[in-house]
Amino acid sequence: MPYSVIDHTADIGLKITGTNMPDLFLEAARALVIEIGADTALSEKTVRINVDGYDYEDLLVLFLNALIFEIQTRDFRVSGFEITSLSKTGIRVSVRGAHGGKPLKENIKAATYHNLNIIKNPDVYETTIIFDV
Amino acid sequence: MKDVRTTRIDPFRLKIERHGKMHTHGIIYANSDIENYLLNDQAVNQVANVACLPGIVGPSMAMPDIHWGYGFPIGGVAAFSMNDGIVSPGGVGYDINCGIRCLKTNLTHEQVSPVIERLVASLFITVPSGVGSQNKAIKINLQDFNQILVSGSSWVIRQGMAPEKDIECHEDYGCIKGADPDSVSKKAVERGLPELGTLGSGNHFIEIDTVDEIFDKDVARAFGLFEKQVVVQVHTGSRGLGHQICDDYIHQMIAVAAREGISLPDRQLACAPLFSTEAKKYLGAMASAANFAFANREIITFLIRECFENIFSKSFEKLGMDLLYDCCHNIAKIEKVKSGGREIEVCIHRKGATRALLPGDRRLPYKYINTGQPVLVPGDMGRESYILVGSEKAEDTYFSACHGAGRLMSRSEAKRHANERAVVDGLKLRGVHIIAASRATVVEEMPDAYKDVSKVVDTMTGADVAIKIAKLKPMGIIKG
Repeated sequence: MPYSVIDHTADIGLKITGTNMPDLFLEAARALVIEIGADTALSEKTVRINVDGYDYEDLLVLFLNALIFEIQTRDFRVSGFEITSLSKTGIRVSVRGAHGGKPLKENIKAATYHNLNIIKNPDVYETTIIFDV
Repeated sequence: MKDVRTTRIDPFRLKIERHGKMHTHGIIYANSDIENYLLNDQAVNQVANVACLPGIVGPSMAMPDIHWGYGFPIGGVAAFSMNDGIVSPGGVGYDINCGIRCLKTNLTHEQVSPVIERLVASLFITVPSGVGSQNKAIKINLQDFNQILVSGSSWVIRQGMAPEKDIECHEDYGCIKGADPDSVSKKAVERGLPELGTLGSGNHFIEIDTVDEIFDKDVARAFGLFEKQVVVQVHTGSRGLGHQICDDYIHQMIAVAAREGISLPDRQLACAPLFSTEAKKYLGAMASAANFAFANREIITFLIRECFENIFSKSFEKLGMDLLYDCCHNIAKIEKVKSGGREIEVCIHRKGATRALLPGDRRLPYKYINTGQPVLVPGDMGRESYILVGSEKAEDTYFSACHGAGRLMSRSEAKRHANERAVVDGLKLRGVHIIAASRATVVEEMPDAYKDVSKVVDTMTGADVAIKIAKLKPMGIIKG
């Protein structure tokens, strides 16, 4: 399982693992989509998320929050992702899916920076993200 | 900071000694019951982390409903010098001016009890609630929206949706000064505009209560409260507008903190010196979201009054539906406090805490000048809520008190403990009728997921920060 839910008193914590940095970002995005209930089988449109940040942790928060905005404010439902570029200071992602669809399961206000640290182990990247709900 | 220890200094307070990078000590309001709850999470470490921020005045404090947040602890109170202190968007939180109000009626439990199911159903249908809820009945353009950001509840009153006398029953008269709509991003406007007049989800609610017990007859009379009276509590905030503003400014302030050489124990505490341009812009945007939240609760109140009018076939004026008070839980405000024997201006962050002004305070409306401000403390869905006023030692907390029961159990733990049917049936046995937009919310918000609010309130009263005026018991609940 590339992610697991960890106990946090007030909010939601997701522990994410990936085989490399792009994989970690994709698994984090997929975990968010599953937890929030924003998945769809439709691939009618592509939304592009381009964000620039200070480092990988900052980029992860910015990317997830941009995704939350598309899902919650613009009613986008997600069928897949493609990272077109990822560096330490920028990420470009194509998000496939469709507007409208089933109601969300959970309201997530934002991904937070609380204790956020991307750890590189010999064969896996991992991080824990706290989401304000 | 990790593995921070506390020592007990009296039956109602714990102290974190200054150590490491802390600029001051920490004080947690906790009796022995609350102290046991503290073992479960990282909230104590977060009190110590806040003490590491520059320009902090007095201790880093936490009220007894303290629990693990994301940067500041929930229940945190900290003041920062206007000269060398900071403002931290994460110290206010994503739901800027999440707050609570209490609306009185002249109805009794006996009158409302036979229609409680109809009333709850009517409120659930009328007030948009749940994840991503929008109020399509409210048509406003960008100009109106900016007016709301600048003027808060008074905009709602100008539309004829509430009586003028509501305004004096708000913290800061329903409008935080200094709002600057130009400091609010387009994304924040897009996220917030359709959500005006909606309850949202999570721990937000409308609750119909009965006054179960009066502790102070004189103050209760001055507040217009009597035994068996029905009142309505509304808990919600600035919805997506506040979330986006917080998100926008935390990112900016990570760079500002680096530029200013501010060492952050947790990036979520990103902050800017109060004299900086970034801090001024954030405070302008924060005030905008706070004013949106006041207006949001005022519009929901308009809808609640309509529901009562329909069910009881009387005008809301004849039903005595006057506002008792509306107060903020998540806010940073410029206030004067005593420090070192003199009065200084500071920026007080209340992250899950309520202001508690004492009798005679010039910021109070005339009607509460002799009593002090009503402090509204909602409990969980099944147990009591309280109405307090500040007491002598409130000066020690910069006139702050607890804002609720405080979570005890994570949402996933709650789901492991119960299912929706069991929670609804359990509430029914306690005489509480609930309708929720989401089954998951009912379980996540079950009574056992929260501390016993009476223990929280007992800590505040034991420490002489507040005194009890009345206790409320729930009858009906609408959850998002």
